[in-house]
Amino acid sequence: MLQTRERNPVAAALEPGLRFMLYAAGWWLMLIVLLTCIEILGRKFFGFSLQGVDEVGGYTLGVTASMSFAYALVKRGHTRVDFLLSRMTPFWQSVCNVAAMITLAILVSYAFLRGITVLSESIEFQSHSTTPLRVPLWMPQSGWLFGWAVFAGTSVAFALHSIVLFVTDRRRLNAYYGPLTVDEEIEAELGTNTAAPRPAEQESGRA
Amino acid sequence: MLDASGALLGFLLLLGLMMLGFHVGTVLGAVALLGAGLYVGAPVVRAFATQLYASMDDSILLAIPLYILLGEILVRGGATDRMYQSLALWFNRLPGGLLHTNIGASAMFSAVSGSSVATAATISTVALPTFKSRKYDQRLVLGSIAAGASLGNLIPPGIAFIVYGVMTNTSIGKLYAAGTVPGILMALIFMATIAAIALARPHLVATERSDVSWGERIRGLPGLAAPFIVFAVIMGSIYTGWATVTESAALAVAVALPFAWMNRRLSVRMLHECFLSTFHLTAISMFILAVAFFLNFVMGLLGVPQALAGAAGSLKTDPIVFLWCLALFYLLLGIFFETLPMLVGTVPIIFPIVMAMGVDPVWFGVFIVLMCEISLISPPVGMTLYVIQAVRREGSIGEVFQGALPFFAAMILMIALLIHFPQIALWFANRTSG
Repeated sequence: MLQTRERNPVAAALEPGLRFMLYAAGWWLMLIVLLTCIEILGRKFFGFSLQGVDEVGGYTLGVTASMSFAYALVKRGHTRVDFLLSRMTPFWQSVCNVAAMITLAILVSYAFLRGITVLSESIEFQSHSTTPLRVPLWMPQSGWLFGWAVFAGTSVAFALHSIVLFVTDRRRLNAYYGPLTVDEEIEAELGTNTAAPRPAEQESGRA
Repeated sequence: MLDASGALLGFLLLLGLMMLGFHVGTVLGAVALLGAGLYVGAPVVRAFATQLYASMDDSILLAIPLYILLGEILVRGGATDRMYQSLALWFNRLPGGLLHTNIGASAMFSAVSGSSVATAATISTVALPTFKSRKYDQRLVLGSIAAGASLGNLIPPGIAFIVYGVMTNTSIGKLYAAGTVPGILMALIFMATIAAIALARPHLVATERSDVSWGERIRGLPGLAAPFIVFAVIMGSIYTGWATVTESAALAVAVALPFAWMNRRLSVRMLHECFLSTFHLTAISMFILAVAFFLNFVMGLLGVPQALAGAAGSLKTDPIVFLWCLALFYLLLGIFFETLPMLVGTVPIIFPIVMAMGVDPVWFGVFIVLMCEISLISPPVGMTLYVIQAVRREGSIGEVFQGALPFFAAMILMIALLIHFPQIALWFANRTSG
């Protein structure tokens, strides 16, 4: 069994940029938290309302969620059912893993390509939201499409890498592109979790 | 148009592809695009991204990252650190002693954290060393942690209710209200299970010191303040009508920040870690959800809900019998699937059928979430069981299975209560405007 500690070089190269994107998304989310609190208190006690906070909240979800897709992919987070997979021989595991990466890349690329049409039509017809804010739809849609572009690029890079590994090194393919094991999942949960002290033997017991 | 047998075929294709380890999002998308291409036509296939955008531009679903962020801030901000010790002071006199603390702490933690894996992992790391020096039966310790962790989605604010509510157009406020009483009842049944075992088999549990004073208990209360206040803010703001579900989540995030600051944990670095975890979990949920909405859209065009409702109408089964069959179906499905794939994969098919039978949509939301929770602790496959075993790194998984069994039985009892006394869920829900 290959050491899972070894990082996927493609994932390691992409991760810093994706992190930075999510820091920005996080601060944007905090701003929405602030605006929402002002809205609630203002509405309740001071008789004023910031128009359209919930509308901006909707755009926020669209943009931040699509921007986070690629990060979850790099972290091998996107859900797969490993019940059968974990009972297969390494060869069949590698077949399923490469197939999963290729199909994901195809689906996400298709979503991105169709997304270009969504955005270009909004620009062409100068679509606005049908709300008091009258937000030009190309604005949230550009951010949303950018997230899909990054997701598509990442998934295509992963698919190509997994095809190369399928030919050259199937053990690495399974280690890099298989579903997370329970151990890895816990590590992901507790790895940076300062609140939960880990028993000492757990640190040393892990290869 | 697709008839009921065609829909069933598509459903089996969906499950089969998932079993082969394809990404759940890929499978949902592929089946939806295939259905659209074969039965409706190219324009619907090309509408893929339009639908993805429409489902992701949703201010209700913004509650998902906000509630996850809330849990992250509470955990990383140290608000849950002292919770376990504080709860222990209150529960030590009950027969079963510290085991009740596992239920209480897991329930409180999972109520503010979106993930049952996180709950099981965190409570295990805190609780297991505490039990090392005490003479409790290991299996009961492990089982009680697993049981507590499974309460997460039932006690508001859970992500599962948001997903179900948005998919079926059911009021999330009402769902939260409906989940509260069964959630608390479930916790009480777990505690009764522990007490019963402690009384019947006293050698399995240790006796805790009985001289804890009320002063000590009161002094421990600040350790419980953060989860309680946050929970009160969320439920209070929703039920007084002050805030929508999403707004209440934002309010709760704002309330949680000062606790992290008081614990001297609030920093830019800590927030950045919260952001990464938040968006990681959000991405996992939203990718599946966005594609699942497209599948829902295609099934609507294909007339699947009507076909299924029609087929259900001709079944002439007693709804109670049917619900028990469904419970069995979900138990089997839970062997393979996690909560979210189980929800988004089955709700579009099952929901029209149970609605045609006259089942209340809010009640059914509680039922389906409870079934998802059971799957997490059903031996031999429940996810939380493996998480706990992985954290403890000794003994066999068999011990965890044995420990989970009494609690698994307790959950089956809960399902029976819910099916035969639906008012458990509906009584409180019908008293809120939500």
